Amino acid sequence: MRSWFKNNGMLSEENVFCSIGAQLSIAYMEKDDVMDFINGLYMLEGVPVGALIADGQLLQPETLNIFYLDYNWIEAMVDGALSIGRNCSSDLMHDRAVLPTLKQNGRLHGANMRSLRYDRLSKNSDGGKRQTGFLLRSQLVEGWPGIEVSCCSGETELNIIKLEHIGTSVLFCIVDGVLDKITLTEPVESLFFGFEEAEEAFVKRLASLKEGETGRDVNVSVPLVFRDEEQGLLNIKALAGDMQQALTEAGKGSAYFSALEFALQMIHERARCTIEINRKNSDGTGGGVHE
Amino acid sequence: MSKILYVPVMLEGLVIGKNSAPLADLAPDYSRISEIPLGKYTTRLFGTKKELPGIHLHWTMPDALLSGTHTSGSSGEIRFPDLPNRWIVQRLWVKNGEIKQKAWMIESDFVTNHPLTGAEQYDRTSIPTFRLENGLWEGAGLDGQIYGYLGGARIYGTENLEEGYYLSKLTAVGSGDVSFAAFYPKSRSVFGFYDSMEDEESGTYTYVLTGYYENEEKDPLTGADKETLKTLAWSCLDSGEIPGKTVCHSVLGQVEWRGADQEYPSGVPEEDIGVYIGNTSAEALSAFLQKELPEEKGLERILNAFQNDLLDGIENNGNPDALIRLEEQLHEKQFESIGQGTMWGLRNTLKKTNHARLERENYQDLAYINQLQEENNLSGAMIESLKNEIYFAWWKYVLVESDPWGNDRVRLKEEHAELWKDLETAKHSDSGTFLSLIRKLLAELKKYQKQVKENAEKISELQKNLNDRLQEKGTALKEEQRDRFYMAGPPVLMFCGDGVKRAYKQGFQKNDADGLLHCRTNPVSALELVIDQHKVTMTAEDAVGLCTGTLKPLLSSAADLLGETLLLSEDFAGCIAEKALEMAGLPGTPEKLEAVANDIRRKQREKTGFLGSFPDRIAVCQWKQPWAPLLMEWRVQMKSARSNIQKDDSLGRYSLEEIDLEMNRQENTTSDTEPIELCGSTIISPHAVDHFSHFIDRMAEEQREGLDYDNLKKAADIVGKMEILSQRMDGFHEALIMRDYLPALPLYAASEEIRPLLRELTRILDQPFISPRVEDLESRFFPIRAGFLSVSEIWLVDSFGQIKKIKPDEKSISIGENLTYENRKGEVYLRPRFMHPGTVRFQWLAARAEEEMNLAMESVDNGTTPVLGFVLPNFLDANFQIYDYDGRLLGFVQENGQGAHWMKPLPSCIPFEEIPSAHLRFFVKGLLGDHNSACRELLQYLDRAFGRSAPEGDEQFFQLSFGRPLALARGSVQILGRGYPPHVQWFKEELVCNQFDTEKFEVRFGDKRKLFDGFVGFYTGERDEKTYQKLFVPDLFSEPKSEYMVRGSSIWTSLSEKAAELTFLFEPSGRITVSTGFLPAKEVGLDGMYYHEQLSKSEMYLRMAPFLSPTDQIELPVPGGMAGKWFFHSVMPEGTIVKTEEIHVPDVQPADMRMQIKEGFLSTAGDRRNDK
Repeated sequence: MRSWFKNNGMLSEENVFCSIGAQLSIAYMEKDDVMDFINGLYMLEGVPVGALIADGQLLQPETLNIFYLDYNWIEAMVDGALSIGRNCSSDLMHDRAVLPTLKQNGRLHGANMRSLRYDRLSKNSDGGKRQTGFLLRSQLVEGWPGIEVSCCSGETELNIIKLEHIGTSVLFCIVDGVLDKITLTEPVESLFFGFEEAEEAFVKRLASLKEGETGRDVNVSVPLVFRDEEQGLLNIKALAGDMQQALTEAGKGSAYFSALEFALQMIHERARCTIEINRKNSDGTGGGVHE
Repeated sequence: MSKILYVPVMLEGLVIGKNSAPLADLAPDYSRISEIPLGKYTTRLFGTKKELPGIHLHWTMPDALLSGTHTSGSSGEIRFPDLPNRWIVQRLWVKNGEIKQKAWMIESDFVTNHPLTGAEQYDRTSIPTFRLENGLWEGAGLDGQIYGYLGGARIYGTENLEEGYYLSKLTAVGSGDVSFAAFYPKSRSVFGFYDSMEDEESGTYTYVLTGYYENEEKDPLTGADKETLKTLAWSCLDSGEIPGKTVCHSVLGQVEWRGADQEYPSGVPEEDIGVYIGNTSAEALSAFLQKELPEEKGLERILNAFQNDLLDGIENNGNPDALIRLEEQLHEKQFESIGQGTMWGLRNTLKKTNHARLERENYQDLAYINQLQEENNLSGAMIESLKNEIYFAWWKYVLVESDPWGNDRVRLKEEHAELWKDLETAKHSDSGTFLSLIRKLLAELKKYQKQVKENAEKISELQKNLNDRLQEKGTALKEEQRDRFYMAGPPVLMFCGDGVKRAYKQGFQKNDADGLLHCRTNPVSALELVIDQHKVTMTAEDAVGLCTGTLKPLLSSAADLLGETLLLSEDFAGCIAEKALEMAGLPGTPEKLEAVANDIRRKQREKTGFLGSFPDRIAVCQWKQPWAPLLMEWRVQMKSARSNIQKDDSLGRYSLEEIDLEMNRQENTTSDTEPIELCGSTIISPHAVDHFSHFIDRMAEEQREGLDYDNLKKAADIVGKMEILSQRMDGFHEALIMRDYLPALPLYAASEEIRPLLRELTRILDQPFISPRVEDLESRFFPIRAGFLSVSEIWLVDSFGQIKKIKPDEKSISIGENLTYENRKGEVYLRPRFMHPGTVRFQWLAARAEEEMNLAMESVDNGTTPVLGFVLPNFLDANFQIYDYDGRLLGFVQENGQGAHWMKPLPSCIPFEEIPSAHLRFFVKGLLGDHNSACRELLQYLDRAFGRSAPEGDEQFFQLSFGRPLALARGSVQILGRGYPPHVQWFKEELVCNQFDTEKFEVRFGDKRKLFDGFVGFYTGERDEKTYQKLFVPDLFSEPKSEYMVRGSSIWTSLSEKAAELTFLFEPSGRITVSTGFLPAKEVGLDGMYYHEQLSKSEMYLRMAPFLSPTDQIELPVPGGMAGKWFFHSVMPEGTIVKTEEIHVPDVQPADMRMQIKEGFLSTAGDRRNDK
C-alpha cells in the first residue's frame, strides 16, 4: 500500500516553523506556570541578587542606585531559561519562529503583572517604553516597610511596574519610563493627629472640605484652643468651630462639620522626600541628584 | 416412546428440461482413482455437465448439524455431528380429482458399487472408500474397491436388493469437503433426489420431505435435556416435555412440470454484477463503498481501518505517529500469520526491579537452551514441510507408476500430454527415481525428528539444572513466543449487485425474535369446519386416507407430515372439501364444493380452525427456480514481473518506499511478460457484510441511544442485507508455486513391493497434504508473486450447479486502492510477496557477554545487555560524552575544529585505549584524529536528525538537563523463511527453486516519518576498526566531507543469508522500525532494563561557564524535582579539577561578599527519576 505520509514532509524545515509560528505562539500564550515564569523574568522575578548586583560593594548602605533596564540582558536571561530542552538546531529554528511573539507577550505581561495584581487596569503598560528604576539601600526601608514611592518624568507620574523589597534594607523599584524624580512618602499606615508649631504657638493648617478638592491644602491655619494648656487638653468644640469658620470664610468648607471632618483636619501630614535626578548633558556636564 | 421433535429444513427444487443449460461439473468423480489414486483426477474446473431432465430436489440441513467442534487433545481434529440418514420423499399431485402419491426412500449412508440409483437411474455421489488396516490404507468398498457410491433412492416400500454396506458416520463434510452437503452435485443421492417425471404429465406437484435417524444412538436428541436443545439452538414451543427423537421435515409446493421437452426458466439472475478486488474482503468492501461515494476522499482507507477495528488509531491519543502506525497495521492485515515456536528468557521471582546478575555459566546454559530450542522451532517447520515434500514425491511416484499409456487411458494421456512429453523423451525419470527421493527425504525427516527429540531431552535436563541455580538468585526461566511468520493472503474477489441475489440458507435459519430454530412436537393434526351447521373435524389421518399410490404404509411421522401437508396446502383444498362434505353427509354439488374449498383456503391463509402447531416458514416453500450462489470458479491471467526464468529477478523491478515495495516507474513502460493462466474454485460467503454490519452494530451499542443509535442500527441492518458475496482466490498462491488444493486421498498403492515403505509413509503422513501441480516448465513457477493480474472469467455457481458467468471488463471491475497501479486500469497490481512464510528476526545480542565469553547470544537481562555504551552529544561544546553500558563516564570526544581528541577532564575518566568494550573503543577511535571530521559530521548530522524525531520516554528531565543520550548496541537481523523452500514440481529428482532464496532485497532501518523513531544509524561488520569507519544513516542533510557518514540505512540480504550482526546507534527510549515491504514492518526497541537505571544513575556532566559565585563557595540555581544530588567540579586556573559537594542556592539578601567568575562542570549522581 502507498503511504499518505511521505518522507521528508515532517516538521523539519525552518520555513515550516515560520509558517506555523503564529499558531504556535498563540498556543504558547495560554496562561500557565511556564508563561508566568517567563513573564516574571521580564520583571527580574526569581533572579538571584548576586546576578543583579555582581558585588556587595556596589550597593553600599544608605545609597540610592538608579538604573536603566537593559533588555539585551533580560532577553539573554529569558533565552537562557528557554534554552532548557533546546537540544538541536531545529529546536532553535522553532524558537526563532515562535519566541519573538512569546517575548513580546512576556514583556507586556511582565510589565502589567503588578497592575493586574492590584486590579489597576487603567494604568496598563504597553511594554514598549524604556524602563528605569532604582535600588535604595537604607534604614528607611527597614524602618518603614510600607514606604510609598512615586516616580515622575517631568510632571508625569510614571507607572510603577515593580516595587519589591530585597532582604530587609533594599527597595527595588522599576517604572515604565525614564524617571527623573522620585518621591518617597511616609507610609500611610503610620497616620496620627498632629499640628505645627509656629512662632511659639501651635497652629493647624487646614485642608479643603470643598467637594472635588477634599484634602487639599488651603493655606489657612487656625490656632489651637486649649482647655488646659498645661495638661495639654484641647478644647475640641472650640477648635472645631474655629476650623469650620475659617474654612467657610476661605470658601473651602462644607455643609457639615462632624467628627469625620474634624479628624480629616487633625491628621498630621506625612513626611515626604523628593529626589530629582539631573542627567548629564550630552557634553558631559551637569548630572546629579538633588533632594 | 420418545416424543418427536419436528425440525424444519429447507427444500428446493430445480426443474430441468432437455434444453436447459448445463450445470457446473465440480463434483469429484472418485471412480477415476481406480486408475490413478490421486485426488487430481477427480475434478476439473470450468467444466459443465448436462443434467438429466426432471425435478432435482436438494435440502439444507439445520445449522446445528452443520457446525463442527474441535476435539480436545493435540490432534485438533474437527468433529461434525451425524446427519439424518433416512429420507422419505413423497410427491403429491391431484389427478382426476384424486390425490396421487408417490414416495421414495433415500438411504443416505448406503455405499454400493453401482453408480446409478435403483429408482430413477441417476448418478450416485461417488466417494473414496478406504480403511486403515495393519498400518496401510486398503480398499474398504465392496470387493476391496477404493471408491464407491453413496446414497440413492428406491421406491418406498421396495426392498433394497443392491449389494452394499452402510457408512458408520455420515456428516456434512462427507469425505472431507466443506461444501459436500451444501452442494447438490456433490451430495445429489445423499441429501438430494432426482425425480425423472418420466411417467407423469404436466401438472403441479408437491413434495413432502421427512428425514430421521435410522440408528437412534446417532440422534442428537436421544437422552436430550434442556441443555441439548439450547446447544442445538432449537426451540420446542408447543411442549414442556423434552423430545427424544429428531424428524426433519419440509414441504415444497407448486412445482410446475410441463414435460421434458419444454423450456424452463433459469434460476440464474440476469441482473449485472460488479466485481471488486482487494487484498482482503474488508478492502474489497471499502473499494465498493468508495466507488459509491466518490466525493468522500480517503473514505476507503478509513473504512479499512474501521473494519479492522483500528479506527482508534486515527485519533492520535497523544501519539503523533499514530496515523503512520495505523498504515503499518493495515499493511499487516494483508498478511496471514503463523506462530513459530518459543524461546526462553528470565523471570524475576522476587518483587524487585532486577534480579542480580548471574554467573557466566548460567548465561551460557541459557544461550545453549535457546540455541537448542531455536533448532527445534526451525526443525518443527522443516518436519512439517518435509512431510509435504515426501507426499509430493509419493504423488509423482504414483503417477509414473500408474503408466497412463497402458490400456485405453486415452483421456489421461490427452489431459497430461504436455506433462509426459519430457518424461517420455528424456527418459530421465521412472518410479524408482521418486522412491529414492522419498527415501532420501524420509531419512532427512528422521534426522530432524531425532534431533527434535534429543534437543527436547537436553532442554528439559538443562532447564531443570538451571532453574535450581536460578532459584537462589530470585530468577526463573520463562517461556516466550517467538516471532510470527507472515505470508500474504491471495486477493479477494467480491461480487456486488442485484445479480448476486444472496440466499439465506446456512446460518440464517434462526428466528430473529429469539435466535432459535422453531421446532414443534405436535404437527397440525386436524381441521375443524362448520358446513351448513354441521361440525366436521377432518383429521390428518382422514386426509392421508384420500391418497393413493404408496406400496406400504408410511412411517407414522411421515404419514403425520403428509396429513398436515394435505390439510395446509391450498392445492388439495378441493379434495379435502369433497371429503368434508361426505363426512357431513351433505351432497357434493359443484357450488357447495367450491364454497367449502374456499372456506378451507381462507382458514389456511388465516391459520384458523386447525389443531396442532404450524410448521416454521423455512419448512414450507413455494416453488420457484432456485438460485443460491455457493461457489466461484475463477480464471486469471498473471503477468509476472520476473524476466529471468532460471533466476527469479522480480524484486529488481521494485523499490522499497514508505510501507511497501513499489514498481519502479520506468518498469511500467517495459513490455510485460507472457501471461500465464491460472484458475481455481472456492466457496463464497457474505462474511464481508456480516463483519461490517457487526462493527456498525457494535458502534451503535456504544452510543446506547439517541439519533445516532437509531441510524447506526438501521445502517447495520441495511449493510447486513446487502447483495454482496466474496472470497479470496484460494489456491492462487499455491498455483504460483506449482501446488494444488485437491480432494485429499489416503496414500494407497496396490503394489506389494513397496508396502513396507508405504506403511512407514502412512504412519508419518497422517493428515491431508497439498498436491503438486506437476509441470515441466520452470516458467510456471513463481516463488515471488509480483506483477499484474487480470481476471478473465468468473463463474458464480449456485447450490445446484447453475452458473452465472461473468466476464469482467474495465467498467465492471473495481480494484481497491492497495492493488491499483496508476494507469493500469482493470489490472490488479501485485506488489512482490514471497510465496513462502517469512519473518523479520531481530535479536539484541549480548554485548557484555560477548566481551567476556566470546559467545554470540541473545540478550535476556541486564547481565547480558546488548548496550556497548552510551553516547551523549553536546552541540554547544561540540563533544560527545562516552559512558560504558553501566552508565560510568569514560571520557569525552572533543571536537576542536580540525579533528577530535579524547578528553578526560574528570578523575573518573580513563584513556580511550583502556575502554573495556572493543566495539565501543573502535567506535570512539572512529571519531578521533587530528584531521578526522567524523566527530564534527556526526555532531552536525545528529543536530539535524534530532529535529526530526523526539522519542517519548520517561527521560524527559534528563533530556532537558543534559541533552539526548544515544545507545550503542549490538543486534542481529535476519529475514527467515519457514520450512522447506518451494521448488519447481517436475519429473526430475532435483528440487530447483530458481534461486529465489538468493534474490537480494532491502531491509531498511528507521522511519524518518516517525517522531518517536529513535534510529540514528548503524555500523556493519566484525569487531574491528574498519567497522566503525562508516556510519550508515537514513539521510544526509548535506554532502559529507569524509567517508564516515554514508547515506542509506539499509542492508541487502536474502532468505538464504545468515543473520547480519550490526551495531546500532539510536535513542534508547525510541523505536527502530525494520521494513522490508514484503513483510509487515516491525518495531523494535531496547528494553528499559538496559538503559533506565543505567542512565538515571550515571554521573552526567554539564559544563558551566562563566558564572558569578562567591569566592569561597559555589552558588548556583540547580533544578529540583530530583532525588539525586548535584555536585560542582570547578576547573581551576592551573587546569586541576576541584569537586564541591555542597552547592548553595543563591541568596535573596544582598551580601557584602566578593564574587568571582567561575567555570566547571555541574554533575549529578543518584537516581534522577523518583522524586516527582
